[in-house]
Amino acid sequence: MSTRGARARAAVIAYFVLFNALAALPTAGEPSLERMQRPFEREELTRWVGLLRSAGVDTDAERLARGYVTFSAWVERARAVALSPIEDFMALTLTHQGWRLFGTPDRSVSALRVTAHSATGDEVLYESGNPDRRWHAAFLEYRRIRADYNPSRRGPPATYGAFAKRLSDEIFATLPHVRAVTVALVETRVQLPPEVGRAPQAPAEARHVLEFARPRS
Amino acid sequence: MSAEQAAPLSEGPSEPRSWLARRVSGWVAFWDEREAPTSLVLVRVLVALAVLVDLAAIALQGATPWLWAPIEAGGLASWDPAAPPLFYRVLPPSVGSAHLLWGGLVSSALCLGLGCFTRAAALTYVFLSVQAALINGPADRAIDRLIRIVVLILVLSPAGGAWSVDAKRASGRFRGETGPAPAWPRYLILGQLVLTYFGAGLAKSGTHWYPWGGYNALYLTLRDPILSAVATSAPRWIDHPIIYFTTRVATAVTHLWELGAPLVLLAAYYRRTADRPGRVRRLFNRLPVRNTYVLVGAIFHLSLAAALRLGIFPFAMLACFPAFFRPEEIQRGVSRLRGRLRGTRVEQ
Repeated sequence: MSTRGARARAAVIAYFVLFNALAALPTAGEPSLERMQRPFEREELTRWVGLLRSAGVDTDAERLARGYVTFSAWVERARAVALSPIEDFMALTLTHQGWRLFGTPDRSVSALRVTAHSATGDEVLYESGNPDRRWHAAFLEYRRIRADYNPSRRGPPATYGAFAKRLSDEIFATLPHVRAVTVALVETRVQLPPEVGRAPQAPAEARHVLEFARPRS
Repeated sequence: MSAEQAAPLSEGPSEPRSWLARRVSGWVAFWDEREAPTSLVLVRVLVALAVLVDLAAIALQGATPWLWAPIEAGGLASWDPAAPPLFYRVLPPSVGSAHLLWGGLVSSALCLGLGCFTRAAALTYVFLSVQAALINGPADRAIDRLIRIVVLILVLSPAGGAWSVDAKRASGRFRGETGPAPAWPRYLILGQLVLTYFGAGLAKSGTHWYPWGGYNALYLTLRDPILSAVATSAPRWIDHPIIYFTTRVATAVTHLWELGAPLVLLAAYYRRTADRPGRVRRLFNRLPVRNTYVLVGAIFHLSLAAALRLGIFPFAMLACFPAFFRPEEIQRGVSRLRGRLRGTRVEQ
């Protein structure tokens, strides 16, 4: 390549390296004071306050939450401005940087539970993590399908309703005796091994429950 | 002011210029380096293989309509009717179109792997992958984004110049010409890996990744019934004190490993400037920093593959690992492996 070509390439690469490196820096998310009141955030704040106090910083959960919300809003604005030269390219190719890989694991975990109701009673067809309830497990656990129901702290994805409806249609089509289907995300709180037996296990709670009756033919 | 005093002042401005000029010409020369495309060929083939395995899983599970058909045709995703994805502006919103999207992804990934019209295949794959993501956003995961980034780099790379149908057409040999070709695409893929791991390390803001959160991150992830491949209902072998302790150690190692990604670049820099002085440089050049990093990474990803239901994520990440190695290192490794295999055959 000619010297001019090599220089042009080096300039283009410098442009992309710089902005991609900026884009890969972590964001503080989009927290709000309301969101900071959720149990997970409260627990996180308590641990951070403990750490900061032990380092001699006088603060409490409320002040830390307010500071965090202000700081993250500022970071988001600065980030949007800094990345504006490359935003169109990233939006076109969907190549946004930003990698978390289980950045904030939570003690509240959810399982998908699919229950079929028939004249003979109720039967759990599938339940995440339950080796005895494995109806269509390979399908339901395939990574892209899982993403259509796996909830985050904000709740299930936008596709959850359509997923549950489509799943119930599939059950009605393959299991003629089923009269109704319930799809739910059952939330439990993980007990760490040292806590087992010391504190009672919080009961599981069915959330985002969707019920479907067999359509009249 | 005397001439003796004035001299340094007049030289002052030229010094930073020459420093800058040196840096700029060094930057230009670095991105103009050449090497055999072996590492890129491996990345091309392995990434395409990972993608094909994923697409085969979609077909085996009959998931194509669920993922990419419009909601009225049995799909899961809906979009603003005023701004549908380009794919559904061109093709009718139907199950057939969803299957066509799957077919296009398979064909382009297959052509990419075989090196058949490599650049066009890579570009087509990225375009269709973007369309799939626009149709069903939640089903487009971080690994799909990373694959798009790597494949976009491959579009501009000489990855199709060897061990490919393109090479066969150009040179009459499937092996093609393995002479020096631009090295910058490998450097960019290596840089992307470092950026991904380092970014993920920095983004781990949850206290469970830190000592003051008890290093419980991996244990909690393993207890997530939707993600975990190990039994999440009692009795759980992961609750055994030794296993629990191991998950906490693994949490610390994982986080440090991610944060340590830039050390690979530092080690590469020190290796290239081995003739310069410095205790840290000497130490880095004495220790197998890069190989240790890659080994820990491979163990990390294979452990994830065994313990969590992450689909192609660990394997697609590992598919990019050849970018860590210079082509001559890979060729040496292949020769050594061949030698051992021949030795075994002779002994038999």
